[in-house]
Amino acid sequence: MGSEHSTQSGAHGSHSAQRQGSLNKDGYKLSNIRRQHTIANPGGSEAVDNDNGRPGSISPGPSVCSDIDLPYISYTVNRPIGDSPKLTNKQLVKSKSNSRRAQQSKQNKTKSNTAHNIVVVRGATTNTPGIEKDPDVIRLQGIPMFLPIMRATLSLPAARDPEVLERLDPMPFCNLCLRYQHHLTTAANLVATEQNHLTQRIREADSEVTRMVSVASEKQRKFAKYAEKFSKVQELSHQLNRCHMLLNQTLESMETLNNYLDISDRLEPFVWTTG
Amino acid sequence: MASASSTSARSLFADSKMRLADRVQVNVNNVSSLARQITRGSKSSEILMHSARNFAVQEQAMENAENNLKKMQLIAVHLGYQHDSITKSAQQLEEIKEQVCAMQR
Repeated sequence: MGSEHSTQSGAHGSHSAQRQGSLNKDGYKLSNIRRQHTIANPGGSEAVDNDNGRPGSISPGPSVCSDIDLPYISYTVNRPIGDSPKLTNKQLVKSKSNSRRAQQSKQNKTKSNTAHNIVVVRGATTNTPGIEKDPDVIRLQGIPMFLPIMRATLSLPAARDPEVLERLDPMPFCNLCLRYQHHLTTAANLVATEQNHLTQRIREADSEVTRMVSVASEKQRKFAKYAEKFSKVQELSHQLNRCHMLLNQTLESMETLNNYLDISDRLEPFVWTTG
Repeated sequence: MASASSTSARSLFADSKMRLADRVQVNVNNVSSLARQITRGSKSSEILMHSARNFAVQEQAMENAENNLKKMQLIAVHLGYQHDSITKSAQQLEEIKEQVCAMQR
């Protein structure tokens, strides 16, 4: 608990140290954030491996410049209780750079030791990719280091505030925000008017279509009646044809019947006369 | 000496950590309230929601129109059939007239 407390406070202290403008590069901030995440693990660093270097990190090692207001921060980062702050820089650099890898190897070693002496050729690095691939963490890491505008410290009162506040004018920013707000409103109104036009046109088109459908169905009904009436013509022609055929047959049968009779009894040959 | 410095540093850190966290929280809250003011002040989301809802109502009208158009397509096909039958019958009228004349003879 003590060591964890010291490491967390140390990390925070070094974080505040950066914000107050120590001579650190950007890579330090990256590695610091990473270390914060790994430090906050419950199975945190208990021992420090002094032999391994930082794997895969291009950024230079963390610097050990002491801070303006809170001294001895760099000594307390990742240091367990009772460590002398008069350790040399080399050891400190090594310890800081090795802390992350040490935690990984330490976890792997504990895992391998408790798993019945299984020889682990390559340790499982499941924990850190789970943290590193988080998009929010990546975005946080992409933030460049910046200094606060008002260089007031946390505990001391703002000594330089009046001269800073004179130069800080909120009006332009306010105008910018108002303009953005107005822009959003206008854009939304534009879209809304366009949508309303479209809605109106849709309704008109729908009414047109319904009107046309009713007209078409009316026409179709009328045409159906006409077609029915006209189809009687077909029937008529059929009947006419039958009538004609029957007439012809009748005439033929009359002729044959007439021929069957004796010549004396025959009637005159039948001539179809119309009135 | 070492433990004393580390304990004093730790006690310093606890206080500053808390205050730093408070300041950060205040800043973040301010930024978020500013953003909320901008989005709520321009009632863009409300306007867009209204228009989207109105547009969604037209979905029913559009479906109606689609059905009507399909019906109209069928009606057009039927009309075509009827037109064909009427023209055929009209032509047959002529033939029948000739037949009647032939029969009358």
